Amino acid sequence: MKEPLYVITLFSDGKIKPIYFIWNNRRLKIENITYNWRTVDENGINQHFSVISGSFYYHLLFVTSMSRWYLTEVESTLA
Amino acid sequence: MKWYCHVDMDAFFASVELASKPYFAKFPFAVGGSEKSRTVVSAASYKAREYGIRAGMSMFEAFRKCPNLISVEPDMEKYASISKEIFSIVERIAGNVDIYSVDEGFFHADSMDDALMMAVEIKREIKNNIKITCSAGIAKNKLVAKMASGENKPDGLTLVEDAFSYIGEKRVEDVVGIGRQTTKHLNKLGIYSVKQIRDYPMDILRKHFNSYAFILREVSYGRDSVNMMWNLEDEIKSVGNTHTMEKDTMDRKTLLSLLSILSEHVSFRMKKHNVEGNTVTLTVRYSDFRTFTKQKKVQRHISSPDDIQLYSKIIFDSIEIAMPVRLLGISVSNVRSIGEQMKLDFYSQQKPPIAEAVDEIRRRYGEWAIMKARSLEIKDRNVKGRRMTV
Repeated sequence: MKEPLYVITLFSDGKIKPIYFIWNNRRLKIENITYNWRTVDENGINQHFSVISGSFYYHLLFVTSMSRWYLTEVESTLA
Repeated sequence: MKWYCHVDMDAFFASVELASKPYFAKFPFAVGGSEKSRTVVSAASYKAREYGIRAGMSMFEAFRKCPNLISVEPDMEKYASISKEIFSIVERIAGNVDIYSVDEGFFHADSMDDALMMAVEIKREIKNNIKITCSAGIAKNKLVAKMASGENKPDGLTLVEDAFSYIGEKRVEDVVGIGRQTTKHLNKLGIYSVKQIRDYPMDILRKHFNSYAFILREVSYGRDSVNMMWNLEDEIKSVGNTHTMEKDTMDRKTLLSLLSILSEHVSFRMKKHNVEGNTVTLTVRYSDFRTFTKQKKVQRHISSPDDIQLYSKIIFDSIEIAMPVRLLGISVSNVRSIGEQMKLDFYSQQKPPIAEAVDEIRRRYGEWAIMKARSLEIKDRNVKGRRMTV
């Protein structure tokens, strides 16, 4: 899964913080960024964010070189 | 005097995944794939360990022990990235770092107090910034520091001031690097505790363990005078690799291609350990899990991929593949260090320049930088290493 996504993002102090994102025509508020990490590939640096919104977990990917956001994983937190 | 600290992440892969997905915290959790996958557990959370789930166990077995187990596929890129961050914290605070693996490393300090303060600071930073815990062990050498870090997991901090007394009380199998086979061998001699190694007559110990006896004796005193942590691993008796096919197959071309990959892999690891052997064993596991092995003794000691492939193919051709194959394995046993008895070995051959060049490319650019065209048949080239011991 790698779905392009609109993400309202705060760029501050050299840091990136996703605030809201729009998915399936719904605006979802990010309640908790549980984890973030970086990887590098042929496109340069990728920033990964594990976030919780409502009762769902989302894995958001920010490709720095293209300034684009993608959704790569969704799952319910109600295991 | 230098003091060493071993920093070891607690259930690293599982902890990273739990930090990402905290809602799994109340469940037994493992990294390693689904129940039906043929993978093994890479890491198990402490809750999963209560059910007897351990790293290295097959996922099938893990689900048998705990049907409610939550599992996720490993994300090695993520762990490598987090590992880099962790060791940069260690380096920033301690001013040095010696990375031992993706989830453990050492630093050194000039005094015990410095080591202790740095360890506390490193543990706090890792917990706050990376959201996982680690355990640290401090001692006057790496071997004892590594053992100490395992004392109070998770989130432990153990200081060993008197290595002699500390290690003397340990059972031999608790010493880092003393494996199952050496333990068995020591137990047969009536040696169960490290203290007993000190009192055992050295000439008898030497008869059983050769030069390894000196290392055992040094360890028994809690010393690391020859950097034993890197030498302590059991003497290699064979080197082998296995590969489980994505799909069971009877296709001869695919199986021969896999033999080629396995031969390259075994040869690469033999060269890494600087050994050669004279017995080739082929393992075949069928789709119904029936497994059999067949050996061939070779007149000379071999380590090149061509030789290993040649003899494993001779074995392969001598058996009838009765049903689809699930797993193939090759191992070379009766090994010795390269260089041993070279002058007496009338069969030894000079390595051709092409083999030297291929070895150099692999050393520089990685194992799969160059390979035989027939190996391209197999897309998934992840093979499992096995290092059998005394």
